[in-house]
Amino acid sequence: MDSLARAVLESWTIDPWIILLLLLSAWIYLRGWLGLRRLQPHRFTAWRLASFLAGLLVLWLAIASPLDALGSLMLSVHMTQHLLLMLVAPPLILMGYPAIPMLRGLPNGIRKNWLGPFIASRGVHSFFRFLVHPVTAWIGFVVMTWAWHVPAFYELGIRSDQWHAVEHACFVVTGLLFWFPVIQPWPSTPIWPRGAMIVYLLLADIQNTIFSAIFSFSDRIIYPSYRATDGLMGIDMLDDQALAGAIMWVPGSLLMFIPVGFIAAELMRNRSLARPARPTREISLPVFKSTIGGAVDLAAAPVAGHVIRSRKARYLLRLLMLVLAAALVVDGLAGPSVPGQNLAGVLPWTYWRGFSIIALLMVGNLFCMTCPFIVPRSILRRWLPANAPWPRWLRTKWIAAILVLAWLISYEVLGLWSSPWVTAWIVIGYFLAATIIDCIFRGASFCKYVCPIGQFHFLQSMLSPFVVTVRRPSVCATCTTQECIKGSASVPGCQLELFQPRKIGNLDCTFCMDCMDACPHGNIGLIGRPVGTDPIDDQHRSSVGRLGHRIDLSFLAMVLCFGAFANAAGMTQPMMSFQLHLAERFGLAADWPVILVLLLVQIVLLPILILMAAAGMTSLVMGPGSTRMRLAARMIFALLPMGISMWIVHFGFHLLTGAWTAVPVIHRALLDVGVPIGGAPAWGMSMMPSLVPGWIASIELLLLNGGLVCSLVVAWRILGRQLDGGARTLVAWMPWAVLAGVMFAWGAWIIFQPMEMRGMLIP
Amino acid sequence: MRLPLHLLILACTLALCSTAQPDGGLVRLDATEGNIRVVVLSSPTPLREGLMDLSVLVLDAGTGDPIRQAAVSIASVPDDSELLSMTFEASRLHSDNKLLHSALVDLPGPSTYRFDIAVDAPGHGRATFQFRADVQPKLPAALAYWPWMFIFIPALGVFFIRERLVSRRRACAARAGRPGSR
Repeated sequence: MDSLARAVLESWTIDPWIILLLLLSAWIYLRGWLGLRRLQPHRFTAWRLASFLAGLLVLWLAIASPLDALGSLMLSVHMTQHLLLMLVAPPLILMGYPAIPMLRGLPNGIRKNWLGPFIASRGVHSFFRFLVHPVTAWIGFVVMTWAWHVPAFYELGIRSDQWHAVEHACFVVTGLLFWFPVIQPWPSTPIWPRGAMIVYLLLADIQNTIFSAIFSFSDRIIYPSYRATDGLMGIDMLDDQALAGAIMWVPGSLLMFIPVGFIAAELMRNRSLARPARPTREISLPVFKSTIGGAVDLAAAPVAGHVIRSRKARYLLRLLMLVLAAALVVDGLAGPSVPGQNLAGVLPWTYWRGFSIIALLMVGNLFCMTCPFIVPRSILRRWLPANAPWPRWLRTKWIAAILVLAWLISYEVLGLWSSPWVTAWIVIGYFLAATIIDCIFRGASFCKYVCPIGQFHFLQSMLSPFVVTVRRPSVCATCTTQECIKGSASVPGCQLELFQPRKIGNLDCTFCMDCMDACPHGNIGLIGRPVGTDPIDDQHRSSVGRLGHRIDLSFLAMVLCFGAFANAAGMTQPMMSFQLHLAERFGLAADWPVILVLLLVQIVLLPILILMAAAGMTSLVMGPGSTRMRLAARMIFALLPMGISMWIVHFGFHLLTGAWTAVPVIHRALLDVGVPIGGAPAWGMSMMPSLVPGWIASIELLLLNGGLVCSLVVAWRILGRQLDGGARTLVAWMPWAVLAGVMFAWGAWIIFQPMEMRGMLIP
Repeated sequence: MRLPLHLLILACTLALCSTAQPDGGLVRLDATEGNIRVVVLSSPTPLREGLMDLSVLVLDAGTGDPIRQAAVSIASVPDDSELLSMTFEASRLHSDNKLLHSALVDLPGPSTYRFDIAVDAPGHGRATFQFRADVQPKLPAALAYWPWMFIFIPALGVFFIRERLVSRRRACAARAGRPGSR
């Protein structure tokens, strides 16, 4: 093949986000189409599916193929791209009758709870009918075609990637609206008689002809950008412009005439030209009448479900984590002291934190499920019965909250992340503490009352999409043996004293699945649920009580919530400079007292003051029945999403920037123990990048936005349940909205600061 | 409450698509020296401190055919003597459009820059080209990322419209004496 032709054919713009979007759309459609095909096989035929997928494919070819890359050099190529976006992809998509399959393909909750109210709204119906009214759709199509080809706007699209994307979006959207009355996808009903569509298309073709003629017969190059490429490959750009006009003219007109022919034939068959269709007000949509499956049960899934249900598989995962922990300890004590070269500097601080929080958001408390710290105690309990009950006065979260606070402070003050040796000793200390406590006291006392890592996971898993809960409450209602908490001969019941029928959410649940193993009815699953319902639920929870009635639990939530921001701020350059400045100002030899005070202010003092102030304002609306303390203790759970979004922003940043740091470190560790792996470790993979890619900040802001929206919605729902919505709820909600907004601004500020790349090597 | 996760993903994906960096941009130079003609395009517009995409189309001045085997280097020389001059190799590997030679050029600070483009094309000889461009200061991060900062506003707007629709529907249902549906 000619090298020039090869270069052209190799010029693909592979954008993973576009591919992801199109695949997601295809997957949603396919999911809905499969369900609808069972109900209406005559309507949802295979060619409807093929048409929709072909439309997506054409869309992708238009924006990813060499057409896109070469469009900035040749007008004819660019016009071909526009033709595909406006006249080919939209009708193909619409011929797939996409509305109902796309709706049905969405999860039930989104479809019913979120889209349902909009679809049922007459206002939304009227607006949509206005958009697809032949007059509006025709004008929109024509205006967009002409406006984006005015030289000033066209050049804007050529020069700016963002505007180019907007231009394409305009073409696709107006293309879909234009073709809507022509295709009239089910279940829509025509507004004008079918015969009017012939006039509609012919008028569109007339303007297309005028538009094309301007290109074809102009004696000058209309768009200045193409003057620079005049003569490229021997092509005169004026000729190319004429060719662009011809492409719009001939294939463009053909694409208009084909449907004209079809409509004419249809009319001759039906003779319904004079009969205007009567729009129906209510359309029976099968999409809302049936559900696909029901709640997802991960424990019943083919592969993941087997791992979750199998005790051996879970035990093997714990052993694997134990081996990693052992390697970390050995390397931390005996390996290099540079954190970026040591397993103890990389595995926990870059990988484990990042993956465990991703697991929390994707599934649930998977870290506790695979926790290696309980392996020794599980073995030792064969000989040590551990019968002593955990002291009643210690059955709170105060110890854990203080330990979490101590952890956050020591992380900064002692620079835990910077010393593999200290990290190794922390891991050893953790093993010892868990083993000693659990070999004396019964149940999982260490996990429930002491472990700071566990508390972190318990609180954050309140926002996980899956919960360990009963499948059918009716089964539990007739159960008298209650193995899920009492255990059976071979399997212990819940060691954290959570009684499944009364367990709400994931609080205090280690995902150990002992209850699942113990239940003789197989009635416990890992069930999907709407994200954010856990902090809203105000019922009494087994072994936990009611949210807001436990000050210790609320204090823990506050520490974790505000600690997320303080912990992330600690690695920013301005904060470190500020700490040094204060230390100098007060004549201190070391900056740790300043760090200690600043952290206490950020995590404890200031949050208490702010929460009490917000609760004070809300209590004015709530009336005399509510105390400020109780209100603050309850509403802190609304801020949990804000906190978790900051944790994932922070840990995700380290995971993304240090994604490859483990490769040379493992290589080095294997060489140290004599494993014959050739070559030297590629330390370049651990080097700090000179510039953090901009997309990382975009994703971080996106996550923070998600946390803010979730916090605001949770706060609205918590208050709405007490005030029954309306203006009073709005007034009561405002202080919390402002507080969440301030936290969002604080998080955004942190994201924009130069960061210390912990666990990486300095070039 | 259920987060409209898919919608969020769709919105994010659409927004992320707009940050894609195809080759092209503003035509900075169209010049010919000897047998070599170059067209230089830059992105973003206007140029700002930080990374810029510079694409060079190297053509045979006689036939207009792209010269794909050319070696192209770009030197950025700021007028501000406190800023560093740097040299970058432009390559077809970095470009989506394989007819272009592209490089990500780091502009260390605001100044007027001179860009020296050296082209060594086998069979066509060597040529050097120059153009000058003003580079503006980097936008404050909040301005550079503003679309990402305020995604919560439309999301919240949708939520409140939804709440309003649901409450109206309930009120209608209550008036009609039947239980409302969610």
